[in-house]
Amino acid sequence: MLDHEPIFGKNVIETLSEGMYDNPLFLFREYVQNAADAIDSAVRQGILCEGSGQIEIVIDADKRLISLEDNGTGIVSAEFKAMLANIGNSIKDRKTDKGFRGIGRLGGLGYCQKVRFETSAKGESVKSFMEWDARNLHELLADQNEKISAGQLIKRITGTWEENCDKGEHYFKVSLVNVNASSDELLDADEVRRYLSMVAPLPFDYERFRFVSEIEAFIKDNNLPALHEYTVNLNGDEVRKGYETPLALEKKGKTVGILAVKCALLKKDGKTIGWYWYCVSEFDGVLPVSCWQRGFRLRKANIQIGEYDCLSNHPRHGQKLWREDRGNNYFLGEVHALDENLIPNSRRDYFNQDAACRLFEAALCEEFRGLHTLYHDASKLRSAVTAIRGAAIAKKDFEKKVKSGVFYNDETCRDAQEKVDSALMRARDAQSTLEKYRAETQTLPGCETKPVALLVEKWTEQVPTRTLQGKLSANSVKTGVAHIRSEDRRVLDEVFAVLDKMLPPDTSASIKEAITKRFARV
Amino acid sequence: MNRRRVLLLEPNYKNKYPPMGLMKLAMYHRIQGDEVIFYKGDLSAFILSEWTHDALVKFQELEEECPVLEKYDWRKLTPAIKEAIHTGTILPNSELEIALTRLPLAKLWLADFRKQFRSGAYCRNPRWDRVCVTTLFTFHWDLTIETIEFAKKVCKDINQVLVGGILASVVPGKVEAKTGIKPHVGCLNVSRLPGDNPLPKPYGKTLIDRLPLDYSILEEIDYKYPATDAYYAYATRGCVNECKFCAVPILEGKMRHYIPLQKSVKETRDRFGEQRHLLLLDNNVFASKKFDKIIDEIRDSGFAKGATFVPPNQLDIAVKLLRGGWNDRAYIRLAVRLLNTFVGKLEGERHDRFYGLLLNNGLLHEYTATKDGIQVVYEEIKDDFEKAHSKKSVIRFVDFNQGMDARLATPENMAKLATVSIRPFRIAFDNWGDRKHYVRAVSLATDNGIAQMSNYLLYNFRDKPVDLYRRLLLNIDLCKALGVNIYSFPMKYHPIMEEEWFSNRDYVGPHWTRKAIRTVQSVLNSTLGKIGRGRTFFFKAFGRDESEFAELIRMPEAFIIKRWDAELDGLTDKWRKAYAALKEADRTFVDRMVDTNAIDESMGQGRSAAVRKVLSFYMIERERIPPADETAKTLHIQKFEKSCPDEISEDCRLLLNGLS
Repeated sequence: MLDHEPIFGKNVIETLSEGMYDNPLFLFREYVQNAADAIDSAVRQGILCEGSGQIEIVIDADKRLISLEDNGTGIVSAEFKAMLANIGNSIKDRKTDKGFRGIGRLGGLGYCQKVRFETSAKGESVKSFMEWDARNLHELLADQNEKISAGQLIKRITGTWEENCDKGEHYFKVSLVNVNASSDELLDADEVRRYLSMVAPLPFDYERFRFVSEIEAFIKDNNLPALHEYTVNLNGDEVRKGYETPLALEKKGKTVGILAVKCALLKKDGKTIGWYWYCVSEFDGVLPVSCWQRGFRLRKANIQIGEYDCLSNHPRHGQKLWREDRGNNYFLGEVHALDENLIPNSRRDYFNQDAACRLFEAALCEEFRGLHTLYHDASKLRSAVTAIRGAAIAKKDFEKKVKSGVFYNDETCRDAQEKVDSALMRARDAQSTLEKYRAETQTLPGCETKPVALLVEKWTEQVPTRTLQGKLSANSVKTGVAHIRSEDRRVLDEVFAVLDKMLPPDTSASIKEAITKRFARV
Repeated sequence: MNRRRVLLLEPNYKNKYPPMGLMKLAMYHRIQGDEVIFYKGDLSAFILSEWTHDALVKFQELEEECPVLEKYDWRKLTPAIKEAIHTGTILPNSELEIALTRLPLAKLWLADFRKQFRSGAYCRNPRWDRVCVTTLFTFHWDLTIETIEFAKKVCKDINQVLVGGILASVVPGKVEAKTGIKPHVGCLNVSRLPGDNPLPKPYGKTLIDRLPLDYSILEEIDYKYPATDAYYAYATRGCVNECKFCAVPILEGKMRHYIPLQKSVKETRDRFGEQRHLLLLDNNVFASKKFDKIIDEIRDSGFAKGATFVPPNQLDIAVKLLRGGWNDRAYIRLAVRLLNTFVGKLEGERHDRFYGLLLNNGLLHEYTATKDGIQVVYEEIKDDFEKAHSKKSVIRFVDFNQGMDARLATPENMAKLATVSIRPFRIAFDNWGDRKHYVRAVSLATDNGIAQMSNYLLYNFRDKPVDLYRRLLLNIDLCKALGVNIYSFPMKYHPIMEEEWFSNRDYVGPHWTRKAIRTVQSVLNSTLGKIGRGRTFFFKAFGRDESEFAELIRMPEAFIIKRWDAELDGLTDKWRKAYAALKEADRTFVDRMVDTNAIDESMGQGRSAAVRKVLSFYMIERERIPPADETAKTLHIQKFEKSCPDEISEDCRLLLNGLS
């Protein structure tokens, strides 16, 4: 063993307070996570009854003040100093508690001038305060001459005091005082609300998301642990998960229709290691970036791990989770990890990459393979429907044109006719594709509840039920041709030749039709 | 007859050797005066590049109609135009966007090309008068069929879709049933294709199979065949044997004992430049009645024992062929590649000067390069290029790549063979019963100074797993006893013509099990399919004796792959003990399960705890085996190596004694 007491220099604090995370909003995740653990503990000790835990967040942009308060156990005054001043010495359990490293609370130091902790435990008529002076901290860190250890540094910048309070009070409150000007995003309540709505352990929004009961039924039917959910208020309004039906997209007032929600278990070697749910939409391309809820969100204890792309293909995974890199962006949903061996890494952007993690990935990969087929089927169905609809319209248009005699000559009419004929042919292929899907989804037992069956049903409603007729009649050619004086034709032939050369066929055709119409003698 | 547009396709699988059939067909059509294009790659990318080409032609045409506009070199925008057609993206303020503002009609056309690309219009308006598709392994069935279907769509006349090659010859009925195309079976033993004119003199009635190969087509594609820089040829066709496991009788029919070689090497050399090696795909050259003549021709073609080769100046060749107009598509690509590699290696003033030269003549990219540009630059650069070009001579080899028949080796033909630079000497060792012949052939080769050998070992046919072990061990022993190198390539037998097996790789021979095959493959995977001369490696991989080999055959795969970790962790021993503790009836059951190589939990249900225990070892994933301490591992391996047999086996000793 080493006969030297290693020194943790002051720079360790810098790394822990600033260097850990990319996005400052993570602060809210870390503090909410700690609050949730305190509430769980209070429930276990009988201080709170199930469901009465509350987390109050106040963001006061004018005062540049943020506070988070929970009504969990609080910390008894005797343990207060040690609990808060010790670093990376958490007494929490890796497997059950949400936070466990004992470093999260330092995060605030990078973004404001003072971080204040305030707490009282039930049965004590005293409340304890601790204040970390972030400004002083940064000065000491920057001072080359100050060679002090991490412990000495903390001593220098920290002050504590006590005040009297009611014996029954129990809470823990963290305040960020004077948030730095460069961290304005922390004061943007809308942005924070949106962040929390995807990351924090919140209940679903029952009013806006109509599939909650299906997810709950799935949890119950499969004896899965209930979702960890906490009441979190932000400036007095409760924050709920960000899922909604239909899904509103930020731009263009567009929405994405959600046909259903599907749930399934993640199993490996017969053991349930997680479960997931996702929305069945029309899968009309990937969900746009403006859909901020998109992607499968990875959650442990109902707290999100990483960002929207955590389960997109990434080199840190032991294998490609999706066959196509864009796969994850077609979906909207959550993956809940249950295996207690899956431990979030210190940045909380993924799990520790160990054997349990690799097995979890293998299980995911298997499930995502089916989802790959699903969005591909969806695309095939959509093109089939487009082909059928397009052919029906093209046929109608052609017949109208024949009636009004607007084709310049036999050839243009025949060309147009051939186009419609080939569209009709494709439409018939498309119809048989649809039929095939319909037959598959109707005959196999249990298939009617498959997501693809929903899509088949939806799409088949939208196409003409009558089978499109075969070829157009060859007689239409003669009747469709316009009567034009022969001297006009001589000029028009030249003009049309130029148009054909200079313009793409479709554009050229419609201009020629317009000209023909002008010159036609009725 | 009009100049036809002919497309030659090879499905986009990874294979080692260039498609000789297509090279002959390229030559055939070129002699016919047709335009020939070879493609191997993603089919959708092919269509995209066709549309891009159309767009370029169209844009130039539009400019010609607008006389006020100055000519613009659209070709330099090729990648951006391709991207626009592919994804619809035109980057704001990009050069393409600016160019389109200048010629707004082009924007309309670009949108139209994109529409056509997306809607599959390429297949609705076929452009090719003939499409030839080659085929290879039956296990690439899906990809092959996909390529044939593509050919059907892009060819104007479905009767002009020609399919041939190995797969097509082995299962022609299945190809026809699936695609409606009746494939050509066997070699191209015709002097012209149906409906074509006879070839002009001097080819006249030459069979297509005997035409010289058109090497130029290999420069047209991005794919690089691993076996390259060689003359590819046959000195014989067919085989005198009719082995039950072999497709040669179907593919090539009766043995033809002689095909002129020297002439075809000379033709290739004269037209495409000197190649380094000589790769002969003969099936059984020892059986040829003209063996001596063949060897003489090989020798006279520049491949005498110890022959060397000075690589020719490729740029000279490319420019010569460009001037002759042989295959502009190929040689523009080659010249651009050579020039850019050359200039990339230069430094300082010379680099700047030549780089500027390439830039001004549009030779930085193949899509802006022109024949004229290449010739201009060539005149400026050729002296420097020639000076820099390596004139170091290197040794060259003759490789009868398909292997030779050990039973037909004689002191005479072996001595003859040794007069050329054969390397490696490949011998088939398909059957343990042939060991006497085999050892004799190896020893004859050694006597004649041929020390590099390679060996094909058929398994999973009628042999037993232990036969494979014995053959591999014999090779290891021969290496030691004779001081030669023998690489072993175990080859798994697969009945490629049977309905159940032709499109997969799942066949299991009568004495083999799925698990046994898996064991062999697990070992081979780590060695890229071959077993070298290293003794300790062999004993580690396949066991020190037959009983260890037998144990390996049933050992959990994770324990084979993570051998030392599993042993040091004690897992292997635990499995061994659990297995030994099984009762007779249980063992039969467990063996049956293990042999399927598909063990899961359900198999142990309702069985004794002992059975479940053993089965549980097979479900351990290799990631779960903890890595052993490195020092312990090193010690363990050293101990193992000391325990490996140092002496050659009794079998080998007796066989060698039997020779003298």
